[in-house]
Amino acid sequence: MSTSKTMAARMDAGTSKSTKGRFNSDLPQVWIGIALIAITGLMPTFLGNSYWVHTFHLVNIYIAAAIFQNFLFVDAGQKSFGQGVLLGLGAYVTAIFFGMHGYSFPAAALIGVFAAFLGGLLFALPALRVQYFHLGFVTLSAAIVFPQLLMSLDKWTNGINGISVALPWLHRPVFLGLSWLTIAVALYPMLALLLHYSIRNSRLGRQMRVAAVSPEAARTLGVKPGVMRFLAFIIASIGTGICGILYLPAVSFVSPQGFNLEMSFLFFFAVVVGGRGQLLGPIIGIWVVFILPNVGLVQYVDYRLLIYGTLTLLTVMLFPDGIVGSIERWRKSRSIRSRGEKAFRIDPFLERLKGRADQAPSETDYVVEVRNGVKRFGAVVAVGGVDMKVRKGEVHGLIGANGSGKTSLLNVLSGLSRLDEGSFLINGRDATRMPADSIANMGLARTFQTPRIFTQMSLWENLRIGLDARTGGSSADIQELASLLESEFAEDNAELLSHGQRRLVEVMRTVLKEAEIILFDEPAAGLSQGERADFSKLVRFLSRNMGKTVILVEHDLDLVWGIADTITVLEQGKTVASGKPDDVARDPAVQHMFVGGARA
Amino acid sequence: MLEVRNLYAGYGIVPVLEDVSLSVKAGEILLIGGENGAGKSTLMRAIAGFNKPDRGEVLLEGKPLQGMAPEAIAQAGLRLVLDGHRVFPELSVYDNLRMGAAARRGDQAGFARAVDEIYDVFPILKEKHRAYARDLSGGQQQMLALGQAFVAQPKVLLCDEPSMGLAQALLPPILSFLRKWAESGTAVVIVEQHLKVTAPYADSAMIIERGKVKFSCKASELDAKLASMETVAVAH
Repeated sequence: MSTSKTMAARMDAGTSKSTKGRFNSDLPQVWIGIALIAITGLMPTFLGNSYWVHTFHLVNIYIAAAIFQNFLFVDAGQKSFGQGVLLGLGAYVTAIFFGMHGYSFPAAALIGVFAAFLGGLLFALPALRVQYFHLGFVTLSAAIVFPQLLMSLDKWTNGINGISVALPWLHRPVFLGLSWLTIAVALYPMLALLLHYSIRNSRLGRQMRVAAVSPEAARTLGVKPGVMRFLAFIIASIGTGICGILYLPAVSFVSPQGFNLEMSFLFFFAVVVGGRGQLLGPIIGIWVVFILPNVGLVQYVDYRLLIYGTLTLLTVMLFPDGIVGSIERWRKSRSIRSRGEKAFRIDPFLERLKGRADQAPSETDYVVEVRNGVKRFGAVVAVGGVDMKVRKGEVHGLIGANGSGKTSLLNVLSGLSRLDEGSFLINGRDATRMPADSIANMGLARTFQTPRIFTQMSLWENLRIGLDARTGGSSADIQELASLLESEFAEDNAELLSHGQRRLVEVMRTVLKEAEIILFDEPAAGLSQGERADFSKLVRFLSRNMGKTVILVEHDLDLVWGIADTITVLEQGKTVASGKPDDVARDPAVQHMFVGGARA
Repeated sequence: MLEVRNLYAGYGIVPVLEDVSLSVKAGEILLIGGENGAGKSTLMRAIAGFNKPDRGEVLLEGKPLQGMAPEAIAQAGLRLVLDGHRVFPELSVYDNLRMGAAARRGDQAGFARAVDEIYDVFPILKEKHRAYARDLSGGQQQMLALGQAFVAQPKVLLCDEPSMGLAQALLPPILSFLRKWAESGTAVVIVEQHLKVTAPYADSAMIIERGKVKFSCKASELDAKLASMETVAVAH
């Protein structure tokens, strides 16, 4: 059965591509966005309408700021309500140095960007400690305080009177009637959009998104979530600061009222209304929440904040995913086909893996060594004095009843939790106090009982984060495997995968990472007989052909006895038996674990 | 008790199930098997109302359920235990069991009896009845999820991979528990990958492939039937 199944699967793998639509529309959205910005940014000049020229200067600047908000909010998962402050810092500091102290505009602008960068640092610091609402409150209070601060520091800021600046050369037509300013404010949001797209499709961007959704998974892939947040804030603050510099010539005047809370809300609402995470979202969002109240309903301009709120509420009720998000959802539901059993399986790829010749486990080299490890959760002792040695290149089964401490031990080994007593070594180095990302970068990978699948990424990207987590270049075999996986799964939706398939995706991710030590946490739960057989083959391959060390926590004892070189049995956090499978099977302390003695 | 006729369901316009029919009488266990992604979980979710069937009927004691909200279906007496142990992590074990009984208010004595029975089958839950569900291991949470369903005393129980994350030695006691439960007059549907272990406890069996019923048979014939298909496949 397995032969015919494998062949069928391979044949399907070859023919299944034609029916698939794009998984995400990021790239088309970028081009549509650039076209929209070009039209609205340049047309008013050609039509000679100076009112619209001025309006779209502001609109495009706000679009750029909203693009950075979108990046920060969705890709990095940081909910900041204070992006207006960063724009204000860029604008105000430039105005102070240019308008009041007579610095040249470029020099003042540099100082302005630097000020926005410092503001970003200020936001990033609390983000290292607090998240979600708490971070929202911190940034929100910055947005509330900022205009007050500008007023009370009137010695430097000119207080309520504000600062006027004149930059006539920027307004002079230079090309087809377009001024430098018009060109700059049209180009900048386009660049911001391209930047957002390229970050999202880079290793950094993928790691950021993983860290935003599951910091735990990110750490086991060698990523420090704090660094990701920090970088995101810095990128967004510099980008938003530049918006502030463009704001200055566009308005020719700054005053504290220009940078009140409303501005920060505008950017946030624009992202939500346009569609969180959609690249085109900020453009549509700003059009709706800014143009409509400020131009269409200009007589009610005093009620702007109320109108922003109402518009946001209405859009969110009518289009829960935002305007672009709802269109995108509709498009996806039309174009994506379910592939059922064939959505993800590993057997078509197993036979392509070649690897090196037979590699027997080492008899003398230990890659993992736990010495009297104790881990407590309050009064509960999860791991109570475990000693365990894992030889290089072996498959080490870790079995025991539910709650015997197997997963707790894996969490300790991968650095997600720390031993209270005892120590453990990885490759001879003491790793007891090492953070998870350092352990991951030493060449350890793991899977989780609840697979970490990122549904905003395509199935291929979900696998690719394994490649991203590598510390060195990949071997030829893995490169070949990766390109096969890419061509097969680049446009597939990971959301439709069944539970068992999700496990196999995580397993494949560790294969792509080519970690030296791989920890599997109940990988076979929910797998069918055929998939179990395939999984066993894969583990065998990892150990014997690639020389990897595998630690396997699993309840399927047949599977464990089929592939393990050594088996350690835990009971209530203690090692009760350890050794060769046959010896362990005869151990009376282990007999009760088998179904009717089936294993003995 | 539970009858499903010509059910079609999927996600959005993505079809997963096509023309699936099944029936389970009170006191019987139906075992459903099939590859991952074949649509077994989708079938369970469609019956329980979590995704709306496109066509077909779901009848509980002859009354149609299709198109009803999941909570209304639960009130009507159908209970789904999902895979991946869904419990309330921030509640104690005992409170989780009480949540299970939310659909049958006012029957204190019955609830206490049901809880005792659960504690009999899973002594570890009794031992940890005050612990937060989040502090349980994965397998213990699965036991709790089963317990939650049991105290609700549904007419129909759908069980998606009860063995997931459980020590192998626990599977037979869980299955005989489900058997006893069924014999007390409940219709039980079990989705399971461990067909060999599960089949002896079931009355009928059914294999799903690519969203369709591949075949149904008596549970006692399942092994032979699968074996014969395997030889046919190899011969080709």
